[in-house]
Amino acid sequence: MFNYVKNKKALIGLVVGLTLAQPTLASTINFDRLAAGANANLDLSANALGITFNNAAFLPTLDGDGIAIVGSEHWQIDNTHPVTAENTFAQGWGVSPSGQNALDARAQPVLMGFASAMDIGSFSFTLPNSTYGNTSPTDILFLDASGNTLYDLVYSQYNNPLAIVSLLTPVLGVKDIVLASGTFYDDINVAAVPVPGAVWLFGSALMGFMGFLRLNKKA
Amino acid sequence: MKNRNPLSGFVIAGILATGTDCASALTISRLTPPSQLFATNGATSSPMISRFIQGQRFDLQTTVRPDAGKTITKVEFFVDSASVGVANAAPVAGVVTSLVPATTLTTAATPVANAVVASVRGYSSSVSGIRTLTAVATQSDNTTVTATGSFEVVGITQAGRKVKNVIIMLGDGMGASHRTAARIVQNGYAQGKANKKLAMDSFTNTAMIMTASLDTQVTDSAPGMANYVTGNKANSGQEGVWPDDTTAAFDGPRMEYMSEFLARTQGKKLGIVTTADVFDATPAANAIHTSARGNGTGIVDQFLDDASRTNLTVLMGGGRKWFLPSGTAFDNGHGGTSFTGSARAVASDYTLPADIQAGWNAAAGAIDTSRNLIADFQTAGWTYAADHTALANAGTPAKLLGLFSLSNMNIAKDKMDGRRGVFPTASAATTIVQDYGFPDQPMLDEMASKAMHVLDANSPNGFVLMVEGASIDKQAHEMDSTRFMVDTIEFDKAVQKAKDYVDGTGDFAGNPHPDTLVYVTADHECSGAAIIGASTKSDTALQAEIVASGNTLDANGQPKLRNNVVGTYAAAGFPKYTIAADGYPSVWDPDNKLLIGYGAGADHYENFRTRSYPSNDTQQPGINFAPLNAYPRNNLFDTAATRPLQQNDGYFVTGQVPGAQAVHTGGDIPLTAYGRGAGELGGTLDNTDVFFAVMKAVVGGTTK
Repeated sequence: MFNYVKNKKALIGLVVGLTLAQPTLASTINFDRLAAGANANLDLSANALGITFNNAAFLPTLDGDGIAIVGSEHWQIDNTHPVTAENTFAQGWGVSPSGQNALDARAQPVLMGFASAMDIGSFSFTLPNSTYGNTSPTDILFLDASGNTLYDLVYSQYNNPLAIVSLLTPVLGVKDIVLASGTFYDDINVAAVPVPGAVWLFGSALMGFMGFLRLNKKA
Repeated sequence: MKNRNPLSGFVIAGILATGTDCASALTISRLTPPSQLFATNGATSSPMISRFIQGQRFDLQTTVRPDAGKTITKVEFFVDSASVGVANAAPVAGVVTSLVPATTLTTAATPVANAVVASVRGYSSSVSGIRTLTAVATQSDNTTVTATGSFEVVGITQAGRKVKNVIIMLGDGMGASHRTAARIVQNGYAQGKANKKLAMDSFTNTAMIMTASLDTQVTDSAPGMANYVTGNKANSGQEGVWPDDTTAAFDGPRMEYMSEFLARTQGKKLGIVTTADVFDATPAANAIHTSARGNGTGIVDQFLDDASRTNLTVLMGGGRKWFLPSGTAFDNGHGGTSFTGSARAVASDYTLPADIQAGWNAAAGAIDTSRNLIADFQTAGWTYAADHTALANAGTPAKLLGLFSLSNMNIAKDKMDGRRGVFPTASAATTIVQDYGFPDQPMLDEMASKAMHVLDANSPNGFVLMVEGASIDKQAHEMDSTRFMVDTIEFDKAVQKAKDYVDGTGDFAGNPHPDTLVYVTADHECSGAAIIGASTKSDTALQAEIVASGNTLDANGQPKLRNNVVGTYAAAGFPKYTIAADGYPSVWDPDNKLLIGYGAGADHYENFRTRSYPSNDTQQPGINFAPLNAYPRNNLFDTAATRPLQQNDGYFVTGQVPGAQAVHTGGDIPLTAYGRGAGELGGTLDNTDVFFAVMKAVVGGTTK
């Protein structure tokens, strides 16, 4: 994919720069530039941070015979269905906080993955303008690269329209964030710094994403 | 336990000395939700009687009997020591608590003066675990009494993809034998194997279901359905409520239905489709809260009045009699006598007290027998279909009401005869559906398919659909073997529609819905139906045998007809029915036909041939008018003197139960499941367990 990047020098410079400076990467992801129903991974703001969205399932590891290993359950990517951005109003959930679309996690938890481990300085999202949602306390899980839970951000979905849910403490070494199912997520704000040892990985992944975008553009 | 002042001991001693009735002592005699802890004075072992998912609403209620001459001033409820409400006054608008007379007790033959019912409406808890419920009642002399119970809030964790749509296929009264009989008739067997499975047989997962209700091992349809969709046990004849101590029919302590919860929290829509009258127990026990399953006027009014709360979007079945203004005349259009087609009545209508309105956001209701409910539905944006043709032409409107008969729809066999132009006897001039006045009724699979199309087009957040094959039960009650078997076949064709909806086949070709869970089950078994064998006679020979043997006994004192006809074991072989192009048996009485016995049957006559006419249906407003008044009667409340037993040209079979109808039985029934989350349903489950398994998949997601 590197071959598809036009300005290779600039990209290499970016990676080197990232390595040396470790800047805070921040963005607000609102999916509004996508068509309703589009794959959420086409959102440019998410791409800029090397973020991917995949449906998630809490599944066991299978042994060599395909038998589930008892007690090995952990969050895994389930690519049976793509994660989409949807017009919340059209779905009966009111106008989205950002005006049009939001990340659709009604049906399944979404694994919001970083290209490499990140130190999360801040993280927040806004719930849709609806009373719908899970009635039980709901968890946003911050996972390390091994799938261990580093932090559990508990919030309430039900009857909580337009609530802004924020992380109140930095969480270090986050590889994935599990967004609980049952609602839409809008205006996802992330400010993060690549974990020092993972900067090269991050840079490589970022280059990969740029190549992916270029491929999409060509198509 | 009581907390009395120092003089209380003297008071008690005085009461005992004078022999005053101790039943009037300050007592909490009922605590709701029902609790083993309360019922057995401290037992804490499983099973936990009342369970809820996180956030599911229910009422807290208690009945308090004061000391003689005293009154109850307040009742405070605590959950885990935290106060959740004080009931100290009659219902007031906007207030979820109430203190009202316990009218069942205060008006009893031996009245309990000043007994009260205290309520907190619409309570819920989002914290999982075993919770302690305490009610503290205070009497006018400041004496208090306390009762403690418990309930469980079942936690749901996220696991995977959620079930978006839930389709409950409810074969009323359908036990294992009903299913097997339908399979034999519809598909046949060869060399020991079924030529083809029923649609419900082809589902991937199977469970056995325990069906008991709160008060009996043998349930009726009201709790039999409600238990599946509330997760809690209800009493006989009660829908979405626990028993209470008031005489009013619509004020019972409520528990939230699956449909209500999912409408409130996920925006899911609700569809109810039945071949019964829509007020009947099974359809009503998906959305209506009442302690009196027979109160049809109030039940159907609530379907519309609370539609914004239940998201009811499709309602189809019989039952037009409740929707017509009182006094509306009806005749069958085929020479029948005109009669009043409306059944709306003050006694069966409803209003709700203010505390229920506040706690449940429910409509107030009104006593309004002159209400034109069809017109009100239409005003509210519903499309109305009065017959099969209108249903077929209805497209996919936003909301659909279909009322295809005055009460219970005709049975599948009689609807098919109507379509085929087959008359019940050689001398009859009208078909059975013409006699009823509804010659163009849809089959259940046509109704189910339409319901799925309408819901699919209008439910971006999914739906709950209940489809009931009602006359499997109703005809098993009548011990009418052909009619219950054909109704089971009709039901299975509706099951196939649901499977097609999941798979994207048939009516839904190219449009699969893998996020849909379908399960086929029953509220209970009916009649103790058993496949005993097959006739050893051709149909011609059977008719001759009926004439020859009638109700006579052989030398051993046994019925000749039975002994000459019933083939058991190898003599039963494999009955063969031919299936016509319309998908149903071409003749109802083939040679060597399948025979059914009734382990829970009542006294009746049996000749093994299909009855020309169905038993008269007491729910029909025209039952006492021509032509229905000439239909054979086999009604529960008829006496021997007034009841010409059905088909009295066969031999007399002594029943196992009193009365004129076969009864429900308490045996477990099979459940089969298909689609997303089907793997959550397996093993031997209580009917309330099904609710939690399904809600786990709908709320938390599933990987099974």
